[in-house]
Amino acid sequence: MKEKAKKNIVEVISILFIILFVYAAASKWMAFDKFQAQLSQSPIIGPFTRWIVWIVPLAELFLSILLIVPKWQVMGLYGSFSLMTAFSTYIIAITQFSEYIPCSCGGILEHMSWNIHLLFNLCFVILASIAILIRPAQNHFTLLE
Amino acid sequence: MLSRRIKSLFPFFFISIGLILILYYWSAKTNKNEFRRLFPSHVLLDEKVTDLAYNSYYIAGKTKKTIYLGNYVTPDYITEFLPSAALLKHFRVHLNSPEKLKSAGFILSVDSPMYFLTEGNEALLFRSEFPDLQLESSIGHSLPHFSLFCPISSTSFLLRSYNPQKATTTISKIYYSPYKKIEILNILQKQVDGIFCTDGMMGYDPVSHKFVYIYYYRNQFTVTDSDLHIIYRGTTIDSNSTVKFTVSSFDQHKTTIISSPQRPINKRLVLDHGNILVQSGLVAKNENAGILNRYAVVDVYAMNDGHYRFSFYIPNYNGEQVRDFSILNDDLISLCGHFLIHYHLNMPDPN
Repeated sequence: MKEKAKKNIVEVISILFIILFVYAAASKWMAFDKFQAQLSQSPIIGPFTRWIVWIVPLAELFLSILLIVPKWQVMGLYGSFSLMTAFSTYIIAITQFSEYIPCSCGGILEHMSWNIHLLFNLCFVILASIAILIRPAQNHFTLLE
Repeated sequence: MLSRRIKSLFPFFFISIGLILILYYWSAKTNKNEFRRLFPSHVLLDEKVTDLAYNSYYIAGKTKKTIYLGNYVTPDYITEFLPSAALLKHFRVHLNSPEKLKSAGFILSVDSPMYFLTEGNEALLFRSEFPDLQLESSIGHSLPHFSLFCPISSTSFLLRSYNPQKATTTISKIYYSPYKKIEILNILQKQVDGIFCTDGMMGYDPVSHKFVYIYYYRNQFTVTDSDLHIIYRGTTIDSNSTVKFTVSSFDQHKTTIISSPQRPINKRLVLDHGNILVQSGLVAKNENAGILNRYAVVDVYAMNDGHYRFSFYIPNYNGEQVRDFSILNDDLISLCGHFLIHYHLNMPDPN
């Protein structure tokens, strides 16, 4: 594949992540009380709600900024990969608490079943890995090469 | 370069998974409890399975020989199950005002020979007597809105409803004719908000004439006589004597929810032959953490004084949770998914 095509794919994937993160963070903030109340029902993160209600949307916005700035894009992709992996693991873990499964995702994501949600997240994990694997080498970012 | 990049993903991958797993195991550990269960052997034997074709059935009541099933989707259909013959029989009943059936939440209760269709949000009660298949709304008086209904005799029934003055739910005994309502304030004890904190299940044992109310979110149950005089308050084997949750409102106070991780301590109540059977939502110290994903754990208490007797497991079937269960003499019937599972029950004698 030509370098140009690879670069375009990485750009498209980054834009998808930016849309996802900004949308997710915005819908959480627009219904913050609801988000906080729902998150606090979670059997896994309930006790840490106070921090997580801020950490998750801020992390989403922070990663969007990293993805926008060309110099930081690689870090953004690694961060997105990690966050989506963590979300996917969370979904697998929470479905193990069988009958009691609260949901705290905003907007359209709220209407997905847990299996669809997991599939959705795994697609984004794969997208992030693709972007990381095919991205053209950059001179100014060699830490992870 | 590609393999180096693949390798570079590994630490991110494992750290992300690790973080969530730490949270998971931490919370699973705090879900264990400081009590132990006693398990006699061979309580359930001879599993027999009947396919009901639909998963919307629930147990509506029983007579000496028959279990009655209602269906959430088609409330005007009654299903009879005879354990002795493993026989299913369906029949349809009729309301004198059939347009009311469109209301979503009709629940069937059978207290043979009487049977009832009730809808608490709209305060509707229809009743009839087998073998008559025509139900009548036979109370010449408007009922309060109610959240639970329990038939106790041919002349009266019990309701759980919300009392706005006291800001809590209460139990009332209602006589048909002449209409009379006796509201009892001291059976349910408010701890937080009077709605979620007092939420639970109720049942009446026609053999011993005792009424039992058990809370979902604390370890207490209350046993009364048929006139709702408290005989005693008992506790289940765990130590959750106060509800642990807080409630919060959003959407300009239009929606109120429980806002802390809270699974019910007590999930189902079944009364039978001097025993109070409680399906528990808690894992004991002498059990594996994953036990609740494979079985319904049932703790048995003595009806006369509420002491803990023993526990047993009702297995899930085909990966489906036990949705409901009931006991008829030496038979235990459970509903899992669209299956009805029928066991021979070998209850240990009271010691």
